[in-house]
Amino acid sequence: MDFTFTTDELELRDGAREYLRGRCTPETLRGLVESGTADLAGWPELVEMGFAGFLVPDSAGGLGMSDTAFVLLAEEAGYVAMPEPLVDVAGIAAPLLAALDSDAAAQIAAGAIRVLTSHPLNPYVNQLGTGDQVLRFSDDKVELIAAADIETTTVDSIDPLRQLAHIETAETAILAEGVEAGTLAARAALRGALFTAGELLGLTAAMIDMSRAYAVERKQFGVAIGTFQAVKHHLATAFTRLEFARPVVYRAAATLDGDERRARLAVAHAKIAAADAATGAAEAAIQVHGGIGYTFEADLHLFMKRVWALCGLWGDRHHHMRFVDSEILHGHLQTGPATTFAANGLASGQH
Amino acid sequence: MRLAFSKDDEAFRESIASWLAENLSGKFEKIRFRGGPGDEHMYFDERRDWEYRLADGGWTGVGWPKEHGGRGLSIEQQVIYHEEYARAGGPGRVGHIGEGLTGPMLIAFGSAEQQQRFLPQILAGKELWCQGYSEPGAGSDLANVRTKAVFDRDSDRWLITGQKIWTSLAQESDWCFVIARTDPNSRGSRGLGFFLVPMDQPGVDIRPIRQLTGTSEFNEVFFDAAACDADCIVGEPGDGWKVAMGLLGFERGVSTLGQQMLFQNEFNEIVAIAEENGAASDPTIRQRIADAHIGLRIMRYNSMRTLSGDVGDGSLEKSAMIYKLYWSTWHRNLGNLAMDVLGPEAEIAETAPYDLTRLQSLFLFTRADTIYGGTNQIQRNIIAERALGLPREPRPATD
Ligand SMILES: Cc1cc2nc3c(=O)[nH]c(=O)nc-3n(C[C@H](O)[C@H](O)[C@H](O)COP(=O)(O)OP(=O)(O)OC[C@H]3O[C@@H](n4cnc5c(N)ncnc54)[C@H](O)[C@@H]3O)c2cc1C
Repeated sequence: MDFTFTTDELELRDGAREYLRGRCTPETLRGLVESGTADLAGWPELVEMGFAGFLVPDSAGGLGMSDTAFVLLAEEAGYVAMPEPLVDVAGIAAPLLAALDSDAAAQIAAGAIRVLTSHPLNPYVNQLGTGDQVLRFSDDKVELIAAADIETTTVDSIDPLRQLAHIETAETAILAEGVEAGTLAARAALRGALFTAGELLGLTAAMIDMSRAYAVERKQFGVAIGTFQAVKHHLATAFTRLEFARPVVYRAAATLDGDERRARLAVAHAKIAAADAATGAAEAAIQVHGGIGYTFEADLHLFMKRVWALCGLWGDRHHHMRFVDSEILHGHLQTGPATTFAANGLASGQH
Repeated sequence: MRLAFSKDDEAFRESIASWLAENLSGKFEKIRFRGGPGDEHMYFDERRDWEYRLADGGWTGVGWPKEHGGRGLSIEQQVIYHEEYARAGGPGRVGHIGEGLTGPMLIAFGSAEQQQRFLPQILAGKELWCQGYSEPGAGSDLANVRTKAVFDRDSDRWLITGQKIWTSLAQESDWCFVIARTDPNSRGSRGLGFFLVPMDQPGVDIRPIRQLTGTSEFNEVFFDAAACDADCIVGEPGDGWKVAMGLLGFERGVSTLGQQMLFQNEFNEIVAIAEENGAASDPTIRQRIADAHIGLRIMRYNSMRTLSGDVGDGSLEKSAMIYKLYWSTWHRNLGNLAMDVLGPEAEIAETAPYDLTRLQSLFLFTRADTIYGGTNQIQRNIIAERALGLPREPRPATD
């Protein structure tokens, strides 16, 4: 048992952190909000850093990193509320295309194309206008669609940095059908929920950091508001939730390639824990900011709105909760000694 | 205790219901259920017309005493009025600050001249008010206001200089009540005055602040030697804090009834959506709906008890203190429930650009409920210190 990350993984994370915090600043985000564009000018740099091909095997020109390491990357993307669809392209489409031996994986890694995802769990595709192709999952088909051939209707998200569209009609190339397609759709859902949980962890950490800084700087009654126990407790609670969510998400990442039900359970738990930590932190962060927390001018709103959007993505709380409760009440989930790391939480032999 | 409406009350119900049915139609149809909290920027002109219509019908200031031009309705009939208003989808009142805060404040603390000057205009829906309390350095620590009021003998007027912030609806208001320092050497709650300041003058500069919702209901207001007449101070210089706090007490009064009826409408809408989109089959959603209903009833009973009057042991005054904390927390949870009922659709705005649905606005606005009018933290301090008599938090003197 080892919950730590390798030096390689941590170095990549640190590199990503330094780069993203330098490039994707709140000022950048506000500029994008004002111009109303999804400016993905930074994508070539992300490609160069290896992020697009993070999960693509070396042989196809990627970094061949692990899913656990990608969680770290998703956290960093969340921390800066990055608008680029990194999870879609690099976390879901690229590895699944690689597993299907599609050339598209190598093209993603090389930065030649961006492939977005469409899935029954999510009614809309994010940043459709900026993608070259869409990998569309349904229960019995996986298709690759050229973005140019798609008819769409766009809708506004409450997150001003998400640009959503619904695919109406499209010319498609079928990649998989039947049972195989169902399995792929399920795996896409796991990846989507897991890495979204990673982004939520990052967003949570960012909101706690902003609130901490504000609590030190803002004075009322002649002292920093962080002096007041009520403020301290809000932030301490948010921080505790965040730290308790982290190992849940890391564990889910390490489980992803194994038994499907076991992974499904771990991912459900991860999404719930991360979403709870994030919504709690968003609520606390606004509260600690007082009136300023309720403005469009403060950066905070961009983060809380991203949280709001991501909570419903790849299955909301209730979607995942239903799976967990049915596994306990109607499934075969065993709890207790020797089951912590057992496949599916099933006692051995019961598989 | 008599927990029922009389025959007279029911007849009254009939009269307000039929008046609303007749009047809240035609050009007012589109403002039904609009303009409530979080939606106050919508249909302002139409709602202003509606205010005149209400005034013509004698339906403003229904709880004000008759001698001040109100209807002097009993508590029961005020309950009925608010119930029917909400049931009919009566729009958010553009005159609510004047009716709910300025009026009762002037009735309690104003001079006869001030009452005659201002109350009829509020009742007629002709003059709208905003609240100039908070400043950049004076939020929770309201007594730290820096805005100054200097009496100018030449012009026989008060001149107000300073900055207010978060002033809701300042851009639509004719008047602002302002707490300002009359004694430049004073600190804290002493040395303050309570002023009635006209907004339409060169010394007043209103700059909208954009809110989370993308709209601007609140503003920064800069006063640069803004003038008000010598008799536009309520009470004496130095009485400002007493008046300001008295006014906050009215926020917990009758206006809570109307607010709860709005809550009821929001609740009904959420339940209807949950039934329609299937969320109501989810056991946790079902329980949260039941919980929300229970909370609504609790608030209702608490308000009615408060409004029935104190039995003399001060217990009611204490129970009134819990009210803001209770409703703001309840309402914030309702906002969360609304979004969870919507599921992934919660993310989708009504139309571009950034026109939020009513429930999205509700969700966002309920983030502010726990902040304005005294944050939840401040409310808890008040309850602990004043209702329970716990030792005061160490409060360093402000400089
Ligand atoms: C939508 C909206 C509308 C508003 N409308 C008006 C209006 O019309 N007129 C007007 O005058 N004002 C208005 N306000 C302002 C509102 O009253 C203030 O925002 C509120 O009093 C808090 O002050 P602040 O924003 O400066 O926060 P701060 O006082 O800076 O508080 C920041 C955080 O510190 C905490 N804190 C501060 N002191 C203590 C303490 N002693 N103990 C524990 N915790 C503490 C607070 O609870 C909060 O979490 C409005 C605000 C909002 C959000």
